[in-house]
Amino acid sequence: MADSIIDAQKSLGKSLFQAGASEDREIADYIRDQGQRLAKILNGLFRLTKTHRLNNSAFNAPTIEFVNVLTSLYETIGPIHILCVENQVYVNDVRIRFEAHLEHSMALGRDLRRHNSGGVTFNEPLEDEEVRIFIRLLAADPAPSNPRTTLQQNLVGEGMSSCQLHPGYRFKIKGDEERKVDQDFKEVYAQSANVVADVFGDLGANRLPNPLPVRRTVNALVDLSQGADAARLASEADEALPNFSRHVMMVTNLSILIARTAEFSDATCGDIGVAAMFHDVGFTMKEDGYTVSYERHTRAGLRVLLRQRGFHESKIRRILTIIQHHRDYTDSKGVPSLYARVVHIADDYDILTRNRPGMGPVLAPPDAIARMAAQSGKAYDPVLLQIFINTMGPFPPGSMLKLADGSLVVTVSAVRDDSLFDKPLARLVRDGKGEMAPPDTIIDLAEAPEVVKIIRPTG
Amino acid sequence: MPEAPKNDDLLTEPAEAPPLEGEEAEDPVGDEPILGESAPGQAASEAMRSLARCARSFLIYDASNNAIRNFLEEMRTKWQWFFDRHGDLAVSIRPWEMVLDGEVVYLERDRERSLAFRLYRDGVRRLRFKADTPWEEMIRFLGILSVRFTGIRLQEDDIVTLLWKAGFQHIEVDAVEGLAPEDDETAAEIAASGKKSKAKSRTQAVVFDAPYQFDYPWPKFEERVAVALRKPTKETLAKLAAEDSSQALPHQCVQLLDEVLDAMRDPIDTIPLSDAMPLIREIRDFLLSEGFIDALVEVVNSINLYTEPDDEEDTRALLLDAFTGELAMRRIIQSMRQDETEAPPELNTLLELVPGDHGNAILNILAVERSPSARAVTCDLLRRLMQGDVQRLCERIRASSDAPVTCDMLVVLADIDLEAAIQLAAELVTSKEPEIQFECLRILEPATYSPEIGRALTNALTAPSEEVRLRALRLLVLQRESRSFDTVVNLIQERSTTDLEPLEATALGEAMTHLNQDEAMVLFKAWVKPPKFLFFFSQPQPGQAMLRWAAVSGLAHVPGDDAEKLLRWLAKRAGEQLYQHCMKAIAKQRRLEASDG
Repeated sequence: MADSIIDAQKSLGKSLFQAGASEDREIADYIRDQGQRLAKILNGLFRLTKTHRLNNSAFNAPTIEFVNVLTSLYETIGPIHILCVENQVYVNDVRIRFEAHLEHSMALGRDLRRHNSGGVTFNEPLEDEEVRIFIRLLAADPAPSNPRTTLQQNLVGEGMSSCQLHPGYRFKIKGDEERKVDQDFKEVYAQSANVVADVFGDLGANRLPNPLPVRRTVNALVDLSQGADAARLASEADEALPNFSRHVMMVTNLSILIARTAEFSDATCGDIGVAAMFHDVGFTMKEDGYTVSYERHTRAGLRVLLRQRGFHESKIRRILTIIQHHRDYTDSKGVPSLYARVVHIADDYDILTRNRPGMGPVLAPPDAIARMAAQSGKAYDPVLLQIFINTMGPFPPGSMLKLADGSLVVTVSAVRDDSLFDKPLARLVRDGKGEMAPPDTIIDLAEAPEVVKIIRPTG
Repeated sequence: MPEAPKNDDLLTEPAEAPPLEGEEAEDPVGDEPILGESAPGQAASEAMRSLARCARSFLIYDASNNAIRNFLEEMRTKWQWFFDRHGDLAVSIRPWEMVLDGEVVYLERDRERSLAFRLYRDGVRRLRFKADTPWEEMIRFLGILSVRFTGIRLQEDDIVTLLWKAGFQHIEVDAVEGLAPEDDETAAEIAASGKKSKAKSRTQAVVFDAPYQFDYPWPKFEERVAVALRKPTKETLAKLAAEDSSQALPHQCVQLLDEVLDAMRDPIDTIPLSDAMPLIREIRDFLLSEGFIDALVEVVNSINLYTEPDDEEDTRALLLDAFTGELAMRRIIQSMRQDETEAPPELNTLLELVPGDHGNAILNILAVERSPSARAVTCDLLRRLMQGDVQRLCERIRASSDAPVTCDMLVVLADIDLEAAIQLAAELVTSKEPEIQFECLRILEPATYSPEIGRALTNALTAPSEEVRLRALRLLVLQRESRSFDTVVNLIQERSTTDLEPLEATALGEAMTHLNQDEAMVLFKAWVKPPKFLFFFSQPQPGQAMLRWAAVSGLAHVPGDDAEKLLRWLAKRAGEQLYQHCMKAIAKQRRLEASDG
């Protein structure tokens, strides 16, 4: 009995130590202080419009202060997001405290809500005059219809497209509504591209790494990929993304897929996903104005992540991934870390199979997976690679195949069941007579003529 | 669109809302009121109250504190009581309250103290604890709450992530998991957001449009093999999963340090020490606090391997100092088990790997460490490190002003070099600290006779501590230092009128006999039977009672009729206590004679 209490004390002490060790007190204090200042000044400026004309000198001091704080914050953490949700105000995820009255925090939310908006992002610092324009437009009466869209257009019209308005939000509680997995997955996947862009943009501008938004996104992907054909969904969602984001997201998704098939815990899947998201972060660095070369990008990635303070096991494993993800299983420096071995497979597979404008993929997916399979135990961890093969099958999603009856299909599913290892679902492109098939005609290769040829699209 | 906050800012903040009228600020651990009308309500209230108190307690107590133990015990009792009688416990979380089936079972309006407010602000809206929730799972849940209460801002995990990662089997948490759009205008925007993934700013544009080589060069594999389904065994998967366990982390830390050290010595693309040092320190602190000495040994090996000894910037020295300097050593020692009394071999190996003098560092640690196990381990290290440097240890002992530290160092010195310890003990036995004097006497006990020791012991007879004086006396007897006889006699005579107590008088009397029986006998007679003219014509002399007591004690060790006659004579005239003392002395004397015969 007493032992379990002592064990509990030890366990709690350890939890607190670990949490404390992962904290970067300096940056936390900075964001809290400056974020609070920024939100308060903005709130003050709005309140001032209720009692003073905009040309009143009373606006001068707070406007200058707002410009200074916004610039200082931007230089440290990048774009500033101010969101108002249920009477709470957040600056880049930091909840802001208005010490006087709750009313004050609600006032900022109310002013934005008049325009059907729940927040604003400053993608760049503002000049003194721009702050005044921003306040003027927000203080004006909202448009009778689509007020937020109108306000956004007005901002663009004033040359302030870097100010981005957000819709109003309410907290979404788990279990609020039934998930539409496919739709949600694609939505999260697409939104993740923005997160990637934000994070990489900030890192490229020499700001401090902030893994939290990435982690949230990855956790959502881990949740949504449970029981879903994530390989198929990702390849469908992939098409809408910009080039680099596509790569990062696909490597992330495939890494999570391997981790899940390896029966790792959700937490590990999430950590591997975050590591995969950051695996090419070195490319955000510049040397003499140019993006770092392939040869130097892992070292550059190390430099980027060395800027993050605080000990966390995920961080240790993430940095190892960045450094080691191009190394072979038999590398002379030793077997790379687990995450690096996972990401290595996902990374190479995407590089080999991603469609390139004008030339198609380097290899057709079935060819890529067959050649990677030949590297089992050499370039790749044999167990992890086999897990990947078990998931993707010989005809991974996106494989273009010619069947015995002459029809042309593109596979759209990964392995559905062990017994259907080489029989995925496929979209019919042309039938046996060479006729174009109706859109979205899905056939089951388990019930179709055998595959006679693998075709590599040429762009 | 920015990532929507799912929870609070994870910062410690003072109370936003003023306390209710008439409410006074309380200590952070104090209790909320017990609420609830029904039996389940009251039991739930007590359970939640105990949970809140535990979570708050880390604000003021260290996790190992006894107070925490009491809170945990109370919590376990209250929760078990609820589970046993009422089954599952499910509550809704409101900003100030927790509600069980419509009944408020927790209410606390002080934001700093309120468990409900913390949970609500963190996005938690409903909690359900199954009746068979294991204690271990409750503790993990409490751990997450405690992190919030102590105000640590987490950069890797927010509270919802922590709850998500915890993967509770018996505790269900309904938490805010994002933001939902509120109107059509919003919905349209969200639906389109995936399609519109383009640069939102100049910075992003740079990222998107940069001529990346991220997919170059692609792997060139000529060989192909047919792929087949092969299921890995459970053991194989478990082996993989073990690589992500906390046990694997120290090795991964070492692996990462190797990579960083390698990058630091790369002449073309060097990572400067200043960039790497924060990470190196974080890893060091982790390894030290958890006591992963094996990993530290690996790290030191790596540092020796990857750095040059004569580097201009002293990189090797700086790194080695970070991992094996005084601060590092102190943390290692603190991380040891409470029952540890010897330095583990890995720690000795670690010190051997690092050139230089660790003695001073360890001596400094001994000077400040208070836990018994840490001191024992430190002493053990000193035994090895100070072998060839007894002189320095002696100097530190002489300079030490802290009695327990001095004593520990004396013990170490005695273990290394008994002769040097005896010499120093003879010097320090006159110290004003009884603890040191006593330790010195312990060291002097096996010493062979020397005039220096005799003098030192004689000096110790005037020590303020009775315990020390008695021990010194015993040693003088053992040493047969007859020159101290006069000192002993003077002590008895002087103190017999002031503060001499029977116990010490006994020891002194016995010592007189052992040191010089003949002279003692003369004095005993005088003390027991004073000259007749004094005996008949005057009142008893001051101190005579104690002088007689000492004499009786001494006479007990003098064989022969003279001594017994004296004792009998005195017994007839003595009060009850002295009479008993005389009788015992006679009995002792007879036993002595019998054994001699």
